[in-house]
Amino acid sequence: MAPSREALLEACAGGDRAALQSLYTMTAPQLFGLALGILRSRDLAEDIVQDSFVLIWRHARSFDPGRGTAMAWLGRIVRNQCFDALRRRGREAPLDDKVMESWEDPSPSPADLTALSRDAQRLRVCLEQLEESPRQGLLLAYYQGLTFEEVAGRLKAPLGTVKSWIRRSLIRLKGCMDQ
Amino acid sequence: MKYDHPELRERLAAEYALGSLRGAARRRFERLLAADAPLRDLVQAWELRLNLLAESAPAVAPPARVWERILQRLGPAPAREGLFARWWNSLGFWRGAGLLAMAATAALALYIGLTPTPGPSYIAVLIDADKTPILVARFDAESRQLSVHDLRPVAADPAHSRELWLVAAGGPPKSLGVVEGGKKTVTLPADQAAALATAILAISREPPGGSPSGAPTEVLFTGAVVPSL
Repeated sequence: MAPSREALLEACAGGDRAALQSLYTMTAPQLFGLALGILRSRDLAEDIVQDSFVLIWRHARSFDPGRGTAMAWLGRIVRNQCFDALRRRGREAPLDDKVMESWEDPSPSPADLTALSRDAQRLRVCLEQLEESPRQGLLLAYYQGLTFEEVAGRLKAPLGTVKSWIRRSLIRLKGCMDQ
Repeated sequence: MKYDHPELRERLAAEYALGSLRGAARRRFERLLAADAPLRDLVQAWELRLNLLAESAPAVAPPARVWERILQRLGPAPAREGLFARWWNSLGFWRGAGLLAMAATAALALYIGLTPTPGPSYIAVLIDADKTPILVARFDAESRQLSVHDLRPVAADPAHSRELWLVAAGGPPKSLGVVEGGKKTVTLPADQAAALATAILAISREPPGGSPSGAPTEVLFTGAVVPSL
């Protein structure tokens, strides 16, 4: 059995470099995928993964397994870094078409639910209870970092409709997750 | 806008965590967060909830230079390996042994007389379940040649072959061929060479000629790949 991401983060907090490397091996591909989806630039996404792991190393002590999963904690760091980067540099970085093509479909992967943590499985079940378009809107906002306006453009739906889709979806997700 | 309405606070926290709150609205909300601890908790709860989606993000292997730069930025590791050795000892063999090997690799490389070469080259010491070093691997970035050899002579076993595997980050083990006569040299394709920085090497015991299934049958030795400095 491989050590859990949570155990590796704990070891990182104790200054264990080998644990950081193992955590990187386990999680960097998905975190890089997450950053690519939002930033749509390989260079920028590489920088963000790099910055994020330096932050993860330095702040591993503040991870609290009682509040959430390790992967959510890592994803939170990476996404917040992405939004900071977008704010600093805008979207003027040229969009890489090849990167874009693979992000047209925001359906979460893998299809195999058993590969996910229990909390993530629960979220997937809750997502499936949403209607198709609101779910697509929410996933576009998450995986591609789209604003309400951009989601409306992508789904060819009125802005007001998209806003209420996503807001209602968020409330329903929370209700479903808290059950 | 009034920010003390519970529903509004919940909604803004959720939209901030989702990332759809942007531009001036995001900046305004962040100013508010700085002075409002309960709101920060609300945001964090939403962030940890929504980022469960990170587990389902499409996996794209970052190039090896990303890990190399992270290592550079962390600076030289302090000497404190003993502190976590016991923790690692309790872990499973496949990953655990490979990681433990990493700590020992640098010292061992000196001991067995590997001369460091210029460029981003790598070494790995493959150890068995008792953490005894069995083979050493070195990769030369310039020629892209990976060679492994036994540290001590091993008795010939005609009933089995030993097969070398590259286990890249997040990927299935890839065969690098059967190790014959105690050594093996392969030239890695560029993508495998790039994956080395975060990979583990392994040797498995197979029927003569190599794995019939394309996956390792019985893993004997593993070692984490580390930059040879």
